[in-house]
Amino acid sequence: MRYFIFVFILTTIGYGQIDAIQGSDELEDPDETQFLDQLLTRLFQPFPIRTADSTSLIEHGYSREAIESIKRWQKGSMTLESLGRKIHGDDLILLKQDMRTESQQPQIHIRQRLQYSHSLRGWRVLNKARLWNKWGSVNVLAEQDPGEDQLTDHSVLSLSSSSVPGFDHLIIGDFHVNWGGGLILNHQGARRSLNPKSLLRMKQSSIRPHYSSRETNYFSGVAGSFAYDRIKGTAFISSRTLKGLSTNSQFKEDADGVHPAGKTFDSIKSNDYGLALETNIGGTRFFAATIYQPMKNSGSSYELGFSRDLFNYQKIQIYSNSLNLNNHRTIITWAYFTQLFKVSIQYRLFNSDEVLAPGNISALLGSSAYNEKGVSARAHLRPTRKLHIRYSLDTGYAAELRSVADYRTIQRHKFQIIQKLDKSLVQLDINMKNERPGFNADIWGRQFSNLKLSKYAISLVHNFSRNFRYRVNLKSAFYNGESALLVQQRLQGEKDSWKWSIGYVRFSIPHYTLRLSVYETSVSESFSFYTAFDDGDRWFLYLRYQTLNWFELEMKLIQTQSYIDVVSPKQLAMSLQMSIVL
Amino acid sequence: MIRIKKMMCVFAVVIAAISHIAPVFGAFEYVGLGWPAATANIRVLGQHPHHFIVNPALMGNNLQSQVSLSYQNPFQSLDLQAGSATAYQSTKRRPSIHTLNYFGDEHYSEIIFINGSSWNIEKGFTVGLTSNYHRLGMKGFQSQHALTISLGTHAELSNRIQVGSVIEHAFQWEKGMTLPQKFHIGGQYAIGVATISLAVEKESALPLEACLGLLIAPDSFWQIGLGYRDLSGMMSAGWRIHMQRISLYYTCVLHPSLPVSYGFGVELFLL
Repeated sequence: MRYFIFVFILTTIGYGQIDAIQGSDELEDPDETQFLDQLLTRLFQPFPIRTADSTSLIEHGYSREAIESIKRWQKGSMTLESLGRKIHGDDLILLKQDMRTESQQPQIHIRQRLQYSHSLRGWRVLNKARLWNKWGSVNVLAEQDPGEDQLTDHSVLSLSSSSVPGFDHLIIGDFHVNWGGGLILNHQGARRSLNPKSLLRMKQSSIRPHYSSRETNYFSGVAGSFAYDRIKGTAFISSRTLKGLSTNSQFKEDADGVHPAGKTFDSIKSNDYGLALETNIGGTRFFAATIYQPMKNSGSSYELGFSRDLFNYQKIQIYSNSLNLNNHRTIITWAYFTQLFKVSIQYRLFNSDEVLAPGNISALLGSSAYNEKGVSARAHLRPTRKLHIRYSLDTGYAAELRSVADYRTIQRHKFQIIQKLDKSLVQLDINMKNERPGFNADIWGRQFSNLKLSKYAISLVHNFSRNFRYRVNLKSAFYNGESALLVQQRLQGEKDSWKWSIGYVRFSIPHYTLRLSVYETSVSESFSFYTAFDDGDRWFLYLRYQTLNWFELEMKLIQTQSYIDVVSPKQLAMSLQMSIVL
Repeated sequence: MIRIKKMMCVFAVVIAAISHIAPVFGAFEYVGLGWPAATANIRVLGQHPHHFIVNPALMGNNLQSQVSLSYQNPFQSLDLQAGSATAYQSTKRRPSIHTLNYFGDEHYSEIIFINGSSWNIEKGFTVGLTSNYHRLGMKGFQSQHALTISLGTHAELSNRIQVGSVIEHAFQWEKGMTLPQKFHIGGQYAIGVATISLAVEKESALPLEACLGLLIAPDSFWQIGLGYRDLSGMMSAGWRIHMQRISLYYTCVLHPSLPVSYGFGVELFLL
């Protein structure tokens, strides 16, 4: 009843549905995997707001003022109604979302989207729906890309429940699995951001429904997580038909998910079976997992690992997927966290006969490499409450030279400063990437030229009022004496039932190596960014109309203009979405 | 001679559709059936039983039970005939609709039997479901069958604005033929005596089609409908008169390259 009253109050003072996945770190390169990870986490792993500590609340995005109120509510010295009145702005949006996802009330989400763009050469149709109550959820998604002959060319169906006796969580249908150090299985959540915690594996074995238009890297069958005594576990059985192309007896799954009528694709059945177990002995969390994939050369593979907290502010994690020293993948991570300073360092050594396929294994050198080793480091200094300084280092080298691709090496440094002001935020990013050889031909000529790419970005966000915000992103890239520049400006506001955003970006980029990407406001639960690699400009207009607290219409119009392309200098794109959130 | 050529042309298309193409694009595509034909055949929104059979979420609990009979003469000068019988009722506050459609001649026939119902989830928001049985018959060939389920939604945002969506044949079990899925989404705005409907329809492998319909109802006695579909370039018009227990309507569909279709119908209100 209290939840009901609270949700009722919130719906009368705020939006009925909020897409809170924002480009919080917009100067980073956009990453759809990260977006999907955030989306699925938000939808299927609700934030435990009743029990979350201050650190978790900060990381989740609440302000200091809001956290004080939430802590008082957690202790029972404030009612839900009072909490709803105390919190404002972005905090209220976030709170409402957390309360909604934690709520056990029956809820329905339906989103229907039509999307057109010049590059798609037609309309994309997406229908998705979620229905859930205290027993579990039903998730349905159907998508048709232009040229495909079925509205359900990609379809997803999953039943998910936490009320089945003997299981903590059971999913029947399409699902994702994320295990241990991600050495044998790492579906989503692989992104290493500038956050030191991103090098740690916080969840040893997790399952969650598949609920996106992405057509690769998921399983279909049954997955369950369970706990018996001190042992927690996850098991799954999957049988999924993969669409793709076979070349030289190698099957490669079609990654973009576009299957036009008339084009022939190969289909193969992928059967996968997995089991993961974890237990806590004397403060150390031990993890073991095995997966049997008859389609792969290795057949079965396994991963072992442990994670231990030291002195409350240090953490060490070690994962290895083999006991054989000549053929293994190993990750060692150490982290040190205090309120002022956080640092994490990871060493990885992947020496295996299996190609480091994207989606399965998180690797720096890419899908063509067989093996790699390298160091990743993250540091986060917070000298004052409003100043953040971050640094990251990633290196990747071949652990063993077996093919031309193994000559590739990468070193990447990133440096970031974020200064929060009363009504503004200033962010500076410096990104330097050193890759060699620059060209494959260099290997044969032993000319190990470097590909040095430097990127500098500065961003300013100013909140003129609670409902009116301005943002400017200035990005530049330098490579081999050439330079690229991009300026993006965005205005965002809301009034009554309307929310709007206007953006304009001007770019001058000589070639693809210097490409620069920017985030854009888009319809809810949709990932939107633009990668510029020529000379031109682009504007977008986003409008959202919300009424009755459960109905929302969204529209986004985009025009991209190229000053170089004489064939189609102006390109239009459009997204329309109707959402019902009950 | 011209008639024979036209017949041969139609037969060639239908035979090709049955034997070579899956799903069977071309079959079950006649858009001149029923009162919605007058307003560009927009069926995702509207207040007639012929709309309800495509989007059952439009059915309300307070509608009068009724039986509708309709007859069409598709593509004038051909021997094709079309007709439908539709019954709408509400039992224990659960509306349901049943319809039987026929299209064809002595050699070729399409029969559709639809049953639908709706559920009011929230005040102003309704979802609906229909089960659809399709039978395609042709002399000398074995009949083909398909059973499909379609899903629809309807949201009444205000007295003037309504929106709806339908996924036709979202799920199907077939014997010999696969029906193309179709997605409809549209909005309706009522202004004075006029109701403007705008819908887009996306059939599986075809481009998106925009449809515009205008319904003018000066009083409860009569209505005039006009419509235009952009992809096919089809234009339509029709009138409907409503008396106490009976309604009559006439529709006319003009296709830029096919002969004109016309039809009329009679509706009996039982309660």
